[in-house]
Amino acid sequence: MRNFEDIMKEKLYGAESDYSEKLWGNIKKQIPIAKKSNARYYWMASFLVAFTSMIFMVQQYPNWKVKQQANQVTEVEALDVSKFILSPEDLASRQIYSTSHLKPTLKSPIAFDDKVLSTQAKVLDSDVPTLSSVVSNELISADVAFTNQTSLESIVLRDDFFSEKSKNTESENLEVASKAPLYTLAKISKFNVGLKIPTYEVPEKNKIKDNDVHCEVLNGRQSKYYIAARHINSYAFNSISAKNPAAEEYMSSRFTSESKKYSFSDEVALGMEYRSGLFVELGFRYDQINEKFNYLDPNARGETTVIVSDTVFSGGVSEVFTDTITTELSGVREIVNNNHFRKISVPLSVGYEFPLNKKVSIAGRTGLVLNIWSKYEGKMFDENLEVVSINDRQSSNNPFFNKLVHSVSASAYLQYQMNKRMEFLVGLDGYKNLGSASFDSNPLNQKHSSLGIFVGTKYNL
Amino acid sequence: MNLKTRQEYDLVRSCLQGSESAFKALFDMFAPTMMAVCNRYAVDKCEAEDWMQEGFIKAFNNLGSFKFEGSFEGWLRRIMVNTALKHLNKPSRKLEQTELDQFLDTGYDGDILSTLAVEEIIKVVNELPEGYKTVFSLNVIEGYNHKEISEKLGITESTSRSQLVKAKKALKNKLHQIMKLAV
Repeated sequence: MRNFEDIMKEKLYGAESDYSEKLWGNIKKQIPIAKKSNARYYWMASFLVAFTSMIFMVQQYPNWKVKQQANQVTEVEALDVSKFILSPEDLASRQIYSTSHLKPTLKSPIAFDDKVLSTQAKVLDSDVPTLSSVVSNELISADVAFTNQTSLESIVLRDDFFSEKSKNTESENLEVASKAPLYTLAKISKFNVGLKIPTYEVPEKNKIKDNDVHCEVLNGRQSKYYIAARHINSYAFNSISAKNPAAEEYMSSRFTSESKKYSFSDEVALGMEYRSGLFVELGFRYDQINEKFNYLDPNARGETTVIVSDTVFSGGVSEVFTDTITTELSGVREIVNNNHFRKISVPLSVGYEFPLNKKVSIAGRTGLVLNIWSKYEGKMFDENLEVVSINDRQSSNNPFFNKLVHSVSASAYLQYQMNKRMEFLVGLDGYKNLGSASFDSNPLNQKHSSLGIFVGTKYNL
Repeated sequence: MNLKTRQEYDLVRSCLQGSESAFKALFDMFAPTMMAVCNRYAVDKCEAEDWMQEGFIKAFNNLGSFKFEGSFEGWLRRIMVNTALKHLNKPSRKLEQTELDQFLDTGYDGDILSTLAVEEIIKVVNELPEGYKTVFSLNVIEGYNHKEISEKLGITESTSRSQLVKAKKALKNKLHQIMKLAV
């Protein structure tokens, strides 16, 4: 016969009972649940901004084309027509030139085949002899027709050229009854919009004569100064290597105990952009690399206090008993420490900006990031695998890290022209330390690098 | 280390990093068993739930003192038992001393006892006077010896022994009646 106690233990030790569902709700309010990091929301917001910006730009694309096409019409007006398109048929009865007393002004200069074109020019139409008018962007931009997306044909109506808005600076208003096309632009490939258009042979009689006064035609874009500000959300990578085989255990401990977290950088720079599209920038940059350091504390002490109240009913009278019990507990505790590596640097970069169309350009830049200040705070394992404060060690004769570590950086991004002054920037940015951040006597080499996305603005001065 | 223990350890490590889902998983894994533990010492389900809540809070707030040696369930179980005993040791809760004479010393059939449903046995145990139930649970189910029980309950070892004898007799008596009905 089996022992009574054994049977009872077998039946009851693993027995289970039902409990109220609300218990977990009560418990979780009183236990050390980590708050969810804001970093993930920060990243999500950044991606959302980047994604929305891209969508916005893509949606704007047809408008760019319309405006671009309109400007091309104006450009033709002001250019040396021998180089650019005009329908030979339409040009047969017209001459287009500028006059000196109408000073060409660059209202909206457009980069086009390396030319910047005036948006104001004087037009003499042989159908309306002796009269002239100023053609401006505003007159043309909204009145361009497209036949389709891939093969564009623009027709500008004459009355639009000479509408009420368009007034000669010499106070001569033009009234034009005919709505016949003034001229027609040639077909433009979808992929060449704003970049290149084919040229036609212009009849000799329509070419501008030497004694005509031309609008000033500028080469390329104008040089300009700007201020750019960027915020970069990045993920830092840590490269640790042992200087000698004896340090491999230390390297392994450091490698397993440290992990990188979300990091960020902020940068403000003064830039100069040349007509060719080249630009240089000089500024200030703040980088913060966040790092998690995990280790086990074998001598952890904890204290727990429990207050218990009981109400006892006896003989119709209730009495409350309260106990406060404080207990010290010892054991091994996993400690998570947040380290911060902060740097201030002077980035010096060069880049090139290439216009995709009137509003959007693509740019790339690279350069040196000269570190002028840095601080590493937190804890880490030292060579004896003891947990030490980085701060304490930095102020000793044998610090962990060199004070300054220079880097190289690179970015690729899109620029969207929001208005005449402001541009919105979005793209990728990365940097890599040129040398080891660790001090000479440290048995490990340590290099940081990062990759992230950035958003920013550019203010044209 | 077996798979279950490794899973428990992984969950405890995640809890130490503050993971709410790990805390919830540990709770879901052990709450039914711990509820049964608390039930054996409490007068009713409501009291057992209060003690279990207190025990889990105490355990989760002191996970750092778990040394990753042995079973987490055993560690948690000890906390639950200690929590229950702390309440039973209050001046307002005096362990009931029931006289042996009420119960006849009856025999039992181990084979038939083995066939009884756990729920029936739990019901019978819960019907025992509080003093019997406590000593019986501590000794027979949790494995504490009389010296440990005497320290935990603030009674003498001989009292612990006599309470256990009385408890077992009372249990056998009640189970005997059930088995007779069953046969």
